[in-house]
Amino acid sequence: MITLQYTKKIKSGNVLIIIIGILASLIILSPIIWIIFTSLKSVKEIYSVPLTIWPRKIVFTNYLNIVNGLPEFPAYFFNTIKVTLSTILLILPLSSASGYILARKDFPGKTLINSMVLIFIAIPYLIYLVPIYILEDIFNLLDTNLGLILPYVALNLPLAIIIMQSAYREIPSELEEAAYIDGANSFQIWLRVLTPLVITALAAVTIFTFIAVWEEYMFARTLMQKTLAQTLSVGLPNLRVEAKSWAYGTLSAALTLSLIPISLVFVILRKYFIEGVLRGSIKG
Amino acid sequence: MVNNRTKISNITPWLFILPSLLIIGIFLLYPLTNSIYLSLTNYNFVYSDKPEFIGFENFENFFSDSYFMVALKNTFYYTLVFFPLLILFSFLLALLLNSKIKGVGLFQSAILLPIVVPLSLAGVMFTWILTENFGILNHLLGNILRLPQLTHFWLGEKETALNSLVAVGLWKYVGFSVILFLCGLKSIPSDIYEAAKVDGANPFQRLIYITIPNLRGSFLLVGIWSIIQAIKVYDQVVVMTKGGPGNSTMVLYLYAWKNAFEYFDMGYAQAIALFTGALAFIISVSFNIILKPERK
Repeated sequence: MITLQYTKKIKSGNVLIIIIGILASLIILSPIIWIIFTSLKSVKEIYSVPLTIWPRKIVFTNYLNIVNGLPEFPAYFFNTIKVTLSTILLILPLSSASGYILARKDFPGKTLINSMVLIFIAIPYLIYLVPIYILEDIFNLLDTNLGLILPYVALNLPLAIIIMQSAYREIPSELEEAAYIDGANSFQIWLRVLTPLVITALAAVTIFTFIAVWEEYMFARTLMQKTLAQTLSVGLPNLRVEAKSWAYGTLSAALTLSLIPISLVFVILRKYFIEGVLRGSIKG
Repeated sequence: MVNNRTKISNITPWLFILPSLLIIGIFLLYPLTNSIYLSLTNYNFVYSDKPEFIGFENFENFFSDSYFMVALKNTFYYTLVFFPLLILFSFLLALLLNSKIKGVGLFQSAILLPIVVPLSLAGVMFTWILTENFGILNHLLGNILRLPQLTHFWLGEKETALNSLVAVGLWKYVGFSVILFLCGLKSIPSDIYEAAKVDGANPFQRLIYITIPNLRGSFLLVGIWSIIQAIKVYDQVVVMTKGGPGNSTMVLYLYAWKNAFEYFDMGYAQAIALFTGALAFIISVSFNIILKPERK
């Protein structure tokens, strides 16, 4: 009798949790759902009073408009992908080499470098913005992809180093010693023996950097003022300003398209993202 | 262990770390020192040949600059509304996602999804949602819930504009702080709960006497992280209101940016940036010091 009541109680608790879960998920997803709905409506329906919530008739004109009438969109898209991938490709070897040395070797100056890395994690981006702008103005890096990639590598490197360092520290030292006895040098040990064991941390660095670069707004907006050099996070909001409010159909379609790649990356690497949060504690 | 540490030559570590140091040196360390120098100068990027040293004048000017004071006040307001709400929502959602029921993974994907939506694009989405005549929010409030007195010109009225920006920030950041709380919840040993159950504690008592005290570190972490995010608020302000209407949504980051790239007053802009950065920096460092004893 008592057990029966007990299971009953748990069940009703479960139902309550599921209802709350569905409600919370719907509330959080509703802005994205609304944008997707808007992107599937005709312009006439988008600006009809009273508003319709479900699209009365699903049309793909807004998506076709991007293909036919928005040459900026592919440019934003490819800039974003180029900048994001290049930043990741540079950060992975840099952070893993530095993380390895800081975790497993002693050398003069190590403490200094360690505390410097920690301090740079805590400094907000805004402080670097004007000096980097002046620097890039001198070296003609403004409005070039490289002019975004280099600061992004630098800004995201300290956290990546901390994540890699904590991963290399967990590997038992016997492995390294055995490799030394077999005659391997530090470089071989790093690349061939230890790095295969920290793949999950590399995945965490990848997803962290991917999100940080993909969504970065302030530097992208300041250093890339020419339309064709811009990234999605800067370009799409600018389209709204240029097109005024009538263009929300096309804009919603562009937003929907721009969210697909990063959502996919996140779904695939979500596990590693959470691991990265654990390792890197927090970014300043 | 000791053996291979002494074995390596003195130059090897530097070969590994030099590329990173180089890029950090050029793009972080040099800009940092230059930023401190610039904040002590009068430097108009368009008219001045080179920065002219003026000491702490830029910082002294804060006190007589009413726009700066407005930006400071708005940033404080944003922070004070943002951080308690973020803690509350993300704690409740983390409790929800921590339950061991089938299907919770789906809720997790949904609740974490805003993490990958760039804040500036979230700004575009919410601008559309908050539009006066064709926005879904006013439609829901006015036509479906029949509460027309609650409809607003959300981004055009001084009373609602800043709160709307807080809402966008909450939507964007709640997922990340849910993860922080989840990490804390997972680290509470389950035998404490078993023992409490045996002693007859109900779920509410377990929450108050076990969960919350054990999450002290997580609360501190989320609290300080969210205060820093609030001090750095910028993206959605630029996209949605540009500081308006009036100066009702002008915040420190935006005011620094405007001084630099609209008025080209690099020295003053850098002084504001350093001030804002120092606020955030002091909070993150004090958090590191407070939390350190807890990390083994």
